[in-house]
Amino acid sequence: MSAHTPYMTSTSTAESFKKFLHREGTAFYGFISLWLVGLLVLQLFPMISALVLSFTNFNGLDLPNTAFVGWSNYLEALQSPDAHYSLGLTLIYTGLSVPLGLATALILALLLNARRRLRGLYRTAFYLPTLVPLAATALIFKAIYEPNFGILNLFISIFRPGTAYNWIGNQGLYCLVTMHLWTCGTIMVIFLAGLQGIPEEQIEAAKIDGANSWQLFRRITWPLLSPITYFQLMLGIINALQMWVPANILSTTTDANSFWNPKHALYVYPSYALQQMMSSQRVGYGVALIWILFVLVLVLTQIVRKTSRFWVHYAVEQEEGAREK
Amino acid sequence: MKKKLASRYFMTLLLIVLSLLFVTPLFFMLVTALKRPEDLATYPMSIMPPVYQWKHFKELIFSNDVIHFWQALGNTMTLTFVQTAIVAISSALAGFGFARYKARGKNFFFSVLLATMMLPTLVTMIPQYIVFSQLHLVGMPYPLSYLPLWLPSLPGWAFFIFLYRQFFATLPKELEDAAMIDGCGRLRTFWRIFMPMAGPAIVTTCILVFQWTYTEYGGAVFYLSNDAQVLAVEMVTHIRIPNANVLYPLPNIPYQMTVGVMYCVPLLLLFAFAQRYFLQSLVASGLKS
Repeated sequence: MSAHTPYMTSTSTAESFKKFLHREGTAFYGFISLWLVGLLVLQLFPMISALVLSFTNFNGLDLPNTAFVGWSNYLEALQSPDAHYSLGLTLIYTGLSVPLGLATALILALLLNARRRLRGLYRTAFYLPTLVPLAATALIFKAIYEPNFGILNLFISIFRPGTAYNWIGNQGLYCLVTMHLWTCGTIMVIFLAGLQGIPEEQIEAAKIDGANSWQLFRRITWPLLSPITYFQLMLGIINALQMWVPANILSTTTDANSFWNPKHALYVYPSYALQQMMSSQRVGYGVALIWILFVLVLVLTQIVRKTSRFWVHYAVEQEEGAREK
Repeated sequence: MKKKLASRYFMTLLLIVLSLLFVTPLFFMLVTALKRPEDLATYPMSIMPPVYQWKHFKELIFSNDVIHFWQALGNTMTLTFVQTAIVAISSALAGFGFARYKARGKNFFFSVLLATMMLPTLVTMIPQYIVFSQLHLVGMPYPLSYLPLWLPSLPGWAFFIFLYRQFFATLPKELEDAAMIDGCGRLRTFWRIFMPMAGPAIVTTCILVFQWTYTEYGGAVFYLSNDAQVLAVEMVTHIRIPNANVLYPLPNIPYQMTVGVMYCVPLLLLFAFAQRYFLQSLVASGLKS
């Protein structure tokens, strides 16, 4: 019994503890105890307390003078024009960036898979942008989109002199989506690995049977890639809904004070919630907004999960093959 | 046959155009870092800098005029290395438990683990922020200031727990029996026998955690300030241009790009030396279904 970690007692109630005294069970709970305690103390407890706070007028500092205000935070969130605007922005961003990102990554992977010469070079070119830290990426694109001196406007000026279009101010959402597409190399590498896991014989056999490239893709490649696509789609939705850092960097000035500035061109939903918490000191309202976001994430991922059985194919042996590569 | 050849040429052309498109912003970052602010506004645009401003890099490396570069990079590294070590070890502990022992309730906790993987970080981070600030854990003196970022990693990250579980589950049962006979306790068995064999899982975890923490922005904005701030936030908010007389925001851009280039260097080096592991890690993170 020497290896039992001392965290044991804190994980379970007295009765169930006796049942768990069986050696292997104790070892199991000993090893996962750190995770379990962390889950309860660092994730579940803060989330529950945030849920409670979302029904109060908590300002972030003065806990004793905080009062329950019922559903009013949620009602305000449903009625506020700022919330509507920012939520709309976030939803459009998600609806555009996730499918386009997956499609771009898939196309790049298919192109690379068909080609043998210099493949490593092209792959590196597509993958390199993902190694640039997000803050640097946002600043690069901010400089590219700059209305007066940005490289994009200067390039357009070759054909249409004097262009000084305010890209971020007017087309901010598409700027963000483009920036997202630039970093699709991560998913491309994953797709590429999936493609290389597809058995050569299967494709040869289909070719002999006279299948054209579209049929090959539709009948063999896509079914084998669909589990990867499904997983990346889920992750993509979750990440896109909580995206706020590049939006804030792109649309605010490089002055620390303006960072939480409300009402910039790219006022995405998380930015709105954070701004309410950080600079307006309306923590109760802010966490209500965050809980709405959480529910939205759950609903959307559940919808995707429900539709997955129509388009995701699970073929066990090929999956294993893909993993070994 | 001719058609096939044409499509091959088309695909090659497409690949060349696309890869140039992907490299252009990187190239832009590098040349802009070497331009004077006023060079940005020349018309028609000049692609290469008329005068190479290597002094931007010199100023960054040898002085604190523009940004406290070494301090910020040091902070980033402190945060990142400790974070990586914490996640690599604590995730292995839980992963080992899930992989090697049978227990009642294990399936339940395993599905809880998988569910937490899908938890949006924002949804846990903001409530954590409220709790930590109530406990006065925010804004502590220097090394302790990273505590609010390290503490949530102490239980391990769900995804890496899963990764370790998959790895440890492949090792033979005899390993434990042999260790047991030699009188090795369970923690010792884990640390002395299984961890040294877990190389691939450890490398994957370290690379991904390193990359994610090194580029972290949101958490740093919440928890860190002034002297403890990391490079990501500093380069966005704290670039100072001594006696700038050119129209805003021009003077900032070359310096931002200079810092950006320097910021990328450690990750690029890591990638250059561990490219194979890098790509393998990514694949490991993406093929899971």
